[in-house]
Amino acid sequence: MDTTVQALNVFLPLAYLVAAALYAMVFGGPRAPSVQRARRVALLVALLLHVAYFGARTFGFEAIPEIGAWTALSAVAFSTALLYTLIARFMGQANSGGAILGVVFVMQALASAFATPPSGQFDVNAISIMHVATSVLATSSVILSGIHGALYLVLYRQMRRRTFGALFNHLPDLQELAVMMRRSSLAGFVLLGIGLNVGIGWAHALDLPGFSYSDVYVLIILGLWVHLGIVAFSSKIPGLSAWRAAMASSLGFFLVCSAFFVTLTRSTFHI
Amino acid sequence: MSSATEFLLIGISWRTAPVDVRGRYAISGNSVSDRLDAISAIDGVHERFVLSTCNRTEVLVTVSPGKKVEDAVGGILFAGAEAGHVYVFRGIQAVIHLFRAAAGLDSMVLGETEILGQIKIAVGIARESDGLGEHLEPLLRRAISVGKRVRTETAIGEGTLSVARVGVTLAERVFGSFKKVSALILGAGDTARLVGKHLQAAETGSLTFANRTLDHAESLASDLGGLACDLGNLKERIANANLIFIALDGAPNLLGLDEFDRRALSRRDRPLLIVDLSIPRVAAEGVAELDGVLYYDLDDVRRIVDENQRERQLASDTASTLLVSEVHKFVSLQTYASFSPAINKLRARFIEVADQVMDDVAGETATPEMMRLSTELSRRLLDVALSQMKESARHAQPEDVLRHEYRQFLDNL
Repeated sequence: MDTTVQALNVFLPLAYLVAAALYAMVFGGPRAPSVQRARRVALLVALLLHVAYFGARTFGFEAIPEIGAWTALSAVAFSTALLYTLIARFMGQANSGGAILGVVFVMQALASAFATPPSGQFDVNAISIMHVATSVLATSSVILSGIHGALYLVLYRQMRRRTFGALFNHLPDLQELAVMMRRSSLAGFVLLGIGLNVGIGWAHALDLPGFSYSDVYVLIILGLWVHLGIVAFSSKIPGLSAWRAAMASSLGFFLVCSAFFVTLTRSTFHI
Repeated sequence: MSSATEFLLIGISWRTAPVDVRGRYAISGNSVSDRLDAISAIDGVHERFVLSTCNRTEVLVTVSPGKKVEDAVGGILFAGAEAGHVYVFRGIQAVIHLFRAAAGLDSMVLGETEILGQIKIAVGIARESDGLGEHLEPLLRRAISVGKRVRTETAIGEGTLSVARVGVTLAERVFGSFKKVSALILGAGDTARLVGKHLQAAETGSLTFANRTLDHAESLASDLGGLACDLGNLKERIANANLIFIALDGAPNLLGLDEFDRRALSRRDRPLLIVDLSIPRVAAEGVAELDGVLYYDLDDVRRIVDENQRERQLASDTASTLLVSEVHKFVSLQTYASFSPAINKLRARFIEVADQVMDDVAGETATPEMMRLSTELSRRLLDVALSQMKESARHAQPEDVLRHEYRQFLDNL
């Protein structure tokens, strides 16, 4: 089983890289229907490989995969790719695929490179599953919101500079990017709200050693939650233009990265 | 193509004739059937198809080889036309021309899509008049699919080439849908009308036409739907608009910085888009730099038009490669189809020989296994013969020869 995990550690990021490259190719201009089909197949293959990867880790190490920060990153990569697939399928918005799958590739490459066999057991129960699932999905929402915010800024900048290149021609319009950014933030706000409260309740119930409201990780996550709320409802807040919300949303992406870094280095209780 | 028939295409188009000449030979929808009937009476003409648009009138027929029917067919559609205005293509050249036309490569606006719909309508009329048969039906079907393929797989139809439309496309890149957009159009001339039409077609939330002469603005507003006003109190009107099109000539700097509430602009959720299509520019220097404003003038719009034109030109090279391969595919299929009678005879002969051999060898004692063996053997031998015929059909007109033919075709345009 260890060999399967090792093999998937190599092939999974590659599969995301191929999918990202195909999406970027289609973004660059019209392609044959075969290429359009190939990109969807490549993404589907990557998602299936990811399921196999989780399966191999679960059965190989007899522990659920999300037990460490790096495997949690892999779960975030998976849910980001899955959410993007749903967005592309049901909202017909496929042109940000290259950027999103590029980020997914980086996340999975890091997860594959640094994930180690789990050192302990994870208490699997309804509360833990809800905490992990909502937190992972919320993180993906923040990432999607951040990417759409960043794309908004790029397109806006291009339009201000009157540059009419490939990005101008093929990115979704400013309004759609703003809507995607706000909806992703709203999803993140709701999910993180649940994940955060469940997590805090769980920590109290277990009387988790090291847990404190002044823990830097808790503070960052609380900040991120408030931030998501502001971006999600920015169109209702006077003076907060879509451009400013996009700046804030891109910042959210960095907050998530900080939270991840803090988990690895500073947090006294969170794995 | 089958040896018993040949394609012949005669026409006039924007390439060979000015607009008044084209207008003289354009055929209205109802008259097309009459012309098709008249052509059918010509000796040696088998199938027929007529296409008439504002930019071209063409007739495509299949004729018996060696039959000289150009004058008779041309006489029905282009009587009295100067020789220089009329072009004639035969055989492969006719196929190449048709495929190019369907792909929009022969259109005045390179890559336009309207032609494909016009061909489909003309095919319907020809079919109703019993003008299409075993040669033209597949040819036209293939032409339509080539047209679709070229537009899907190349950038030939991407980017618009009209200034007014490009202006609206810019607005699309900002707002996506126009349903919640409040548009202000300054001017009431031709450009303002064209922009208004595009915005109306895009279901813009609200349209306001502002002009020096209120009557003209009112006339436009009543034609296209919307409000009309004069150029007074612009500051308030700008404050209520998301999109401003300016098509006012001789009003430099009418839109000064004082007309904008800068604080309100920077607090807007969506940027204010200004497309200034006037010469000289109506918006004052510095408007483009305001926070929350996206400003484009005629030079920017022309730059997009030129870029679109350049990209379409580049795409036409890819489209040509694709087109040659489609012509090759069509010619191979036609050649193979012409083998059809020979194949039927061959199949019958194979069965006959197999039966004879079976009679000679086994006679009455033939078992079911022997019969199955004989049938299977003859079927497989026939497959070998057919695949050889397919191969020779594919090489009847090699692709590089067609490429050369295509280059010659382009040189003669």
